[in-house]
Amino acid sequence: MSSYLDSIEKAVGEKRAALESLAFFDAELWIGRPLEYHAPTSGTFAAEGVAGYMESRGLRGALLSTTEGLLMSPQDGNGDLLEADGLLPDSVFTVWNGLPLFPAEPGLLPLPEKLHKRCRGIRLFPKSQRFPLEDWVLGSLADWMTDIRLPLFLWHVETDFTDLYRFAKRYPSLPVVLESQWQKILYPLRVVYNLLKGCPNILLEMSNLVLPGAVEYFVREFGAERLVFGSFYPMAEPLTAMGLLIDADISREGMRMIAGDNMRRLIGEVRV
Amino acid sequence: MSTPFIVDAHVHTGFMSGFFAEETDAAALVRRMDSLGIALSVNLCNMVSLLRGPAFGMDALEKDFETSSRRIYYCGTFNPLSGGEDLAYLEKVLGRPGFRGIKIHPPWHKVAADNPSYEPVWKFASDNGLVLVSHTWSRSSYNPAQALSLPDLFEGWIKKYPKTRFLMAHAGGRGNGHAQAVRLASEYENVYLDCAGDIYIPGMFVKLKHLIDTGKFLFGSDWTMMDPRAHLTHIMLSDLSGEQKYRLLAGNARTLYRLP
Repeated sequence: MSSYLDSIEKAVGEKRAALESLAFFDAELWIGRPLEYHAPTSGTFAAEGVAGYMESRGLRGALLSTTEGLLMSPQDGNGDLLEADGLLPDSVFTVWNGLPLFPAEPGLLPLPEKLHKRCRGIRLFPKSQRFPLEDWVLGSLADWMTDIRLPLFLWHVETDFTDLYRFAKRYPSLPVVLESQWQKILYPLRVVYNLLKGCPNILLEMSNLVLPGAVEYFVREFGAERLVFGSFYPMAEPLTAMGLLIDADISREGMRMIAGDNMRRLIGEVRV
Repeated sequence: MSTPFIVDAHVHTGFMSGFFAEETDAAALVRRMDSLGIALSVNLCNMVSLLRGPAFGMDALEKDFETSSRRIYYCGTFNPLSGGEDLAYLEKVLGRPGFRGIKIHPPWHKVAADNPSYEPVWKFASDNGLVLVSHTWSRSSYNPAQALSLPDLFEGWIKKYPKTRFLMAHAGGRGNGHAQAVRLASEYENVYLDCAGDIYIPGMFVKLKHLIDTGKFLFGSDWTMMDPRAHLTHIMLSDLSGEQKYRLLAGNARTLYRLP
């Protein structure tokens, strides 16, 4: 028994050191009510808790989103992010919920010349908010986002992959972050991997990329520069994705890129 | 990890029809176990046994047990639609050294967990000292068959067969089923849970500390579908004592499955 306890103690020390050595930037930090499926097992998280949470987890930065953009409306969700502004550390940026620019709709939406200073990405929910991911609907939005290098965020369950393939090909300079939530991205991987192979402007967020050896496979096939760390907290445990990364058999440089450098580079390129 | 001691109480082998999987056979599993300090695994079980019945897959499981140097223990399967045949086969292979339990899967076999056709397997497990394992999950909007395995559906059997050691795989899943599974494991001496699958619940291991202490909660990964590393860092860095981590990672599974 004592040798087992020694092994555990050693593993704890090694994992702590590995986590502390990486400057994690969380692309998936969420306020708002938990999604229905996750609600029974999720904690609650509000803007007031962001700074303390980041310190306790050793996070160096984050992209903050809200579920209210989906559960209520894009405008209500964006309003919550705006309200949170004064409570957030400087290292936290936001992802607003967008809609097609035409027909114009009232309320707080990300628009050309009116992008909030903390906003570093736009998330679309094409399935839930009822529009196709097609250039004849989203062309003006995509042109603007491409022009200022503002990344597009998409949950994999919210898009048709054929539509996304066509869209990413149509806008090859638009950075797209395909998110592995809210269901695990395991099931459509045969399609997703072909999508990534065909569209170099698509990056993958890894909070629910849990197939055995998936991080190593991704780095081998697509390169570490296209994988980004996210936690999906509070609907998922951050140590899941952190653990998959620190235990991955990849280079130290690759680990640094995935932990935070890729996302910092991406948002650093946004011309606000 | 200097001394391999972990027991992964929930793995599978076999090709996956519905999705991409790079690691599928016992040799790949052993490589993964070696890389992570996993001493033993329990296979619940290969896809052939789950989808066609124990007569088609259990010889391969016993072979994997032997070729892995007796590191991959396994369960047989019972499908209520072919119950008589399955039990006759399981009876024949009783006593094989790697055989430790029976897996049932209500959503895959499309028979609700409280259906009377499961009664023979509850009795068989009780009479023969085998662990009975079932897939358990919550209601799911995108996979309605999961409702066939809601934890509460098992309560009648749990009461009727108190000597059957019953393991609720996936601890009831992520949604409303999780609370049901935790209640049953807390209330009944013969109910156990594993953490296999994508139940990456924030702080889960500390929340279920009482089940770790009472031998009721087991580490499992759901390899070939899930990477064991998805839980290991969370467990290691949870606010648990070294002894509790050992119980969760190995001790509780060794006791339940009577592993060496």
